[in-house]
Amino acid sequence: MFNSFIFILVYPVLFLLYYLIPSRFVTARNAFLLVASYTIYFYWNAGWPLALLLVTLITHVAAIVIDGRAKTWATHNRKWLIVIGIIFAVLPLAVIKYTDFILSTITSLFSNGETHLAGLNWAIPIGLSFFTFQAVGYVVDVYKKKIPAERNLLNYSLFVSFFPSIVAGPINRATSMLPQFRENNRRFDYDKVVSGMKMVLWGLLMKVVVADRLGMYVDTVMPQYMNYSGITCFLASVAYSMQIYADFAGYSLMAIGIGKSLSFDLAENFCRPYFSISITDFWHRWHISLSTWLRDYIYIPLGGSRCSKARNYFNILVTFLVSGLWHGANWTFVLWGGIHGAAQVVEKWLGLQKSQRKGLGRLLRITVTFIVVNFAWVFFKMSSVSDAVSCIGRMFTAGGGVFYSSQLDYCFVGLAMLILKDIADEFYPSRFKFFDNRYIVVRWVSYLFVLLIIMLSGVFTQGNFIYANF
Amino acid sequence: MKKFFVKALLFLALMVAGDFVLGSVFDMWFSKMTDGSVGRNNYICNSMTEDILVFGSSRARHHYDTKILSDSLGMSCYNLGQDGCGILLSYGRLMMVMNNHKPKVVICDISGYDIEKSDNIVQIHALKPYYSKAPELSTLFHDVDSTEPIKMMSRLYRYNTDYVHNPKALFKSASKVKYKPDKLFGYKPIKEKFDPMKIRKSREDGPVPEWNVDSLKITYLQRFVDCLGDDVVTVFVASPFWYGRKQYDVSLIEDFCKKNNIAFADFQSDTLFVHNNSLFVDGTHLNVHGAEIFTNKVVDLVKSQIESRKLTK
Repeated sequence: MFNSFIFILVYPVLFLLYYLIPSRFVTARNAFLLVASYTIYFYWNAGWPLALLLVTLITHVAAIVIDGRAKTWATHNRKWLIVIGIIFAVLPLAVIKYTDFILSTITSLFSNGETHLAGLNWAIPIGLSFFTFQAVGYVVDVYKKKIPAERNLLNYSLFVSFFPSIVAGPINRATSMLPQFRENNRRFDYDKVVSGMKMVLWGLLMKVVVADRLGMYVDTVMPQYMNYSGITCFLASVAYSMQIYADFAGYSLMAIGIGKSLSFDLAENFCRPYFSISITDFWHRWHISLSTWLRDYIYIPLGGSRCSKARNYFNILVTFLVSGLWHGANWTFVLWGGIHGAAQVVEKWLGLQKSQRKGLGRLLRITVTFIVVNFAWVFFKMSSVSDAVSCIGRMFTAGGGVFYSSQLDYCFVGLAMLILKDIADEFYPSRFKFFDNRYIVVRWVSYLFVLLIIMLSGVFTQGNFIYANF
Repeated sequence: MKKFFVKALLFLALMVAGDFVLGSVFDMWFSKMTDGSVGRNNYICNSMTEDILVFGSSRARHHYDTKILSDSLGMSCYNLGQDGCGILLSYGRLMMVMNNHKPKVVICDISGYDIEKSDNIVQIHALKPYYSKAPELSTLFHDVDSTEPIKMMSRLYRYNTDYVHNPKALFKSASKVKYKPDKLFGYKPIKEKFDPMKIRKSREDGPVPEWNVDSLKITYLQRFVDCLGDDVVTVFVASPFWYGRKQYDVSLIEDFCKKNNIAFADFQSDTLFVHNNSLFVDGTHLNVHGAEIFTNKVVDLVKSQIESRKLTK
């Protein structure tokens, strides 16, 4: 993980070795990155690279077969090919991630509690959902003739396993990444490297100062919500909303930054999501690489919006139920996806997703959207639907004071910096630049100040990224 | 590329210099703090002179009334219990105390928590500012996490999450700094009433949890006992729980104490305490009244140990 001490020590070495290979030896550079990616993945669990390799080989072969038959086979035959290809590609994900969920659901539906179907109980390989979706997207792109199949296994393997994005995305597109891996002269680009390093620094602040610190408060209150007052439960839910944002957006920034430092451009993933004026807008700003993936490979193939209103609403709901299920094999995630889907249906029905208000109207809509998103996160966080419902119920019914923890003190400076930066970027995009200031003194003092806050308030026990679990 | 590396090296040099300068300011600031949790740590690590020392987790801190112990045994007493911490912190603190002074009696409150696997680095967090002050601490940090000695090269890292404290202390004159024990000598009574909402049913009815024993903690438990030697009266105590059955199987501790010739008393399911709402605040912590009764029981135990030690001599 990018926040681990080992990675902080190892990465400069990787960086140096990568640029020591002359840029004209593109195969050697790619081979080096592939070995590094698999080694890092192997470091977590020796068995996991097998799943990665399996998905890579299945989709590589499927795409070549589909591409090879592009001119000679009839459309319906190629449809069968893509269906078979996708089924095989998704099989490791389906078996490893969803078997236990399906069996437990069957048990609870059809048995009286006496029978229990034993599940696999396997550890889910980190990033399995991410690299599977990325690989499936590539096969569909080849099928749709957006790109030709990549015949170079080295380049394709690197596309699936590229270490900056393997843990939790962004879910990159083959159309954007494969040409970069093929590029012959990836020279050292000073501006790009420096810009990448800045992203890593800010992402690290978001993760270790804001997310991990807030996480300590959230993990004290939410699993034991029954012991806390309603206001504390609500505060913990808001803290979780900020935690998951700082955690995932922080991770994404670090991933994109590390990619940039190696002269690659990964997909953008966040754009200040808590300033969204509707749930529809939220999904244009939150986990952008997933929402565009779902749009292109689920929503549009279902018919998108070019159909009847009822069918369109159905398409939205199905897309977000899939999104929920993608996040985790639990009904809490399905419900979370359902809430987001239903909210967008309501917005579309009322014509709210298109209106562009300013001033107080905008503020009101930002607030309402945040509240809906915040309550939906409770389902995302809790281990069961009944716990989530009880926790929300407690927010409205249980009296008492606020439980305060010193963890909130320690994240205060980082959280304030994050909020102020997001406000500045959203409302004054060309002002208040510290990392990109034209004076070197301001830039360097800003870097040092952020480092100081990280050293004094960061959590250095290498907390996992929340989205790495998906 | 050359421009990048020159600037990167310059930035690195600035970082190191900044870390040194600010770290030195923090060193000075912390050494002048006499109140709050830092003041308590400074007292424990620099000026402790009490004869009876109580070690353990929050259960130690809330269960052992230092006034009763010192009045009944005729010796001064300090409670070093710390919320969420166990034997690793106890060992580190004992090392710091032994730099200046050797106690006469050591009471170590122990439960399964103390030797179970957990986040060890969090447990010894309070020792970070004193890292370079006792060689045993650097070994302890290294044993807990082999990357810690590298992290500790940063002086600022030693003050991670410890900086929100009294800024006035920074401007105190060094000659006026005198560490003092707090009023209750480390003991922290809980005056709240019993809250049945805080009772976990699984701990009442479920099976006795099996320990996921942390071998590092066992090693440090042994080191803790070894450095006390034979001339210190050492007593291990498992203090009471509200729950109706033993919360932990203590046979491993019993064997350890037998092997080291140390007295061990298990109050986990003492009938005087079990299900007695008037003596607890929750399932694991006694209230001030419960602590008073329990401390008197510990006094009897320590007295008997002192007597038997005299007879043996």
